[in-house]
Amino acid sequence: MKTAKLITVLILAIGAPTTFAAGTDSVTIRVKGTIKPVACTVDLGYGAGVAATVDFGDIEATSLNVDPNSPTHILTNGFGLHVACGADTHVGLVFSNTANTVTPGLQHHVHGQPLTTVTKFGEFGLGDAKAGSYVMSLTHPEATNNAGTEVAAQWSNYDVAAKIHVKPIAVNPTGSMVEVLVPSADGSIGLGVTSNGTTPVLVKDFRANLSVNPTIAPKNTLGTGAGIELNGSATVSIIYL
Amino acid sequence: MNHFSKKPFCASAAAVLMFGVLASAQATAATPSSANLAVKGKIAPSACTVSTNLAGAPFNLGDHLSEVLDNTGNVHTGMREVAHQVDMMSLSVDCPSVAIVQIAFTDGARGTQFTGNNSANSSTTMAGGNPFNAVNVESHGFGLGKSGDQKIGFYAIMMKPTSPGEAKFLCQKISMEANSGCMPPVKNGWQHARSTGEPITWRSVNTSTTNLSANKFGMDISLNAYIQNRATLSSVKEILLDGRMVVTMTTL
Repeated sequence: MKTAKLITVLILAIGAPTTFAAGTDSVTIRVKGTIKPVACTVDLGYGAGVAATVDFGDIEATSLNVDPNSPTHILTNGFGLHVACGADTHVGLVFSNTANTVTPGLQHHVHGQPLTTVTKFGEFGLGDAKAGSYVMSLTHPEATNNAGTEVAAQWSNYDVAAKIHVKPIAVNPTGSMVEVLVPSADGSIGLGVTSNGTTPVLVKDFRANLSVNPTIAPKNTLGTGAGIELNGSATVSIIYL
Repeated sequence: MNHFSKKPFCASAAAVLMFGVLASAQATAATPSSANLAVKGKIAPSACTVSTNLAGAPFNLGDHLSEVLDNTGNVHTGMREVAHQVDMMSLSVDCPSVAIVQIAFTDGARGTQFTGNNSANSSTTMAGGNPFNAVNVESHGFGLGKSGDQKIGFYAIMMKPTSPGEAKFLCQKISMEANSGCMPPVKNGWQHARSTGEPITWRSVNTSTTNLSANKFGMDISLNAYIQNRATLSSVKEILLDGRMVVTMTTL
């Protein structure tokens, strides 16, 4: 009986290979890659990515309005803006003010027409907080797609940070914007190329006329002495919607 | 004589007594009715190792401009195939002595594979003729991570045995009872691997039911990758693909 017990124990011990740990080894493989945005370039008339300058030259102080309610609006000629993409793309533009010296409270004009809403939005500084500021305007884009077909396109006011189309941008009969644009949280102003002001439309190429509309602060707020240098700066960048 | 006749008696008595002592001793030792006997030891598994020719470097699917990710896609409802049977890696298992070896692929980014939204329209089939529908992508697709809350796509791997000698079958086991399929030893034969960690066992060339013992195993692995359409994926900025595959080798 004792012998039988001993044998039983041995059999149990030998007959339990499933309790043994199996040998294991492992390797981890990473799979990487990148999805690049479609390559688009923006050309302000001097070549893709080349800076453009709007120089007003010397502005005689005597030509400036004195009345605080009537700042001086300077009419300028616009220049061509051209965006070219490698293929049909949902695209837009973002304007960033890199001379953050906006003079508050100015009534701006675009193409001689007063903007109906007086806010600081959509304004770009002129390098001196007292000097004034400017707004920009774009004509209705003339867009074509990959097939070379003209595409009906309308600007939207695009919030870059929130990635939403805030509102359609109305244009006046000449095709220029007449609204003050709402900036994103970072202060930049986005414009989307859309079919109806809210829905992106695929375009490969579009052109518009970009106008710069400066408003110089009333003469009696500028101080006296040395001249005031106007030194505004803005960056126009491609955004993908 | 009587004197002599007593000796045998005494001897006999002594013998009887000794037997009695022995018997008594046995009776005393048996008082506990049982005794435990521990028999210990360990059969060490083969110290096999698994490695790839990537040697720790990531496999790079490359850069893909979103302009090629059109809105219709060419496969699986709005997805774009960006890699088609691309050589991914060679996998090796080396053992110091013969062993039976299993390999399993587990998706480290599981849950991020885009399974599509209309399995009925799948136009591309996996190896073996199964469609790349949502169910199969769920079980065979490896995730590529997310862009925001959007799943970027998925990749699938196919394997082909390259083991020297007799290891020609690769059989996938989805349960203890059944093999989900064995890849026959045909030229250019490829089999998709599941991403859920079901083991794959090498089998000998003559049978798909008997595990092969060997000390060297290998397989080539190729890859297909699919990316969501760009209307869904934001293309404002670069999107980084980030897949992670864990290869676990087990010896039996």
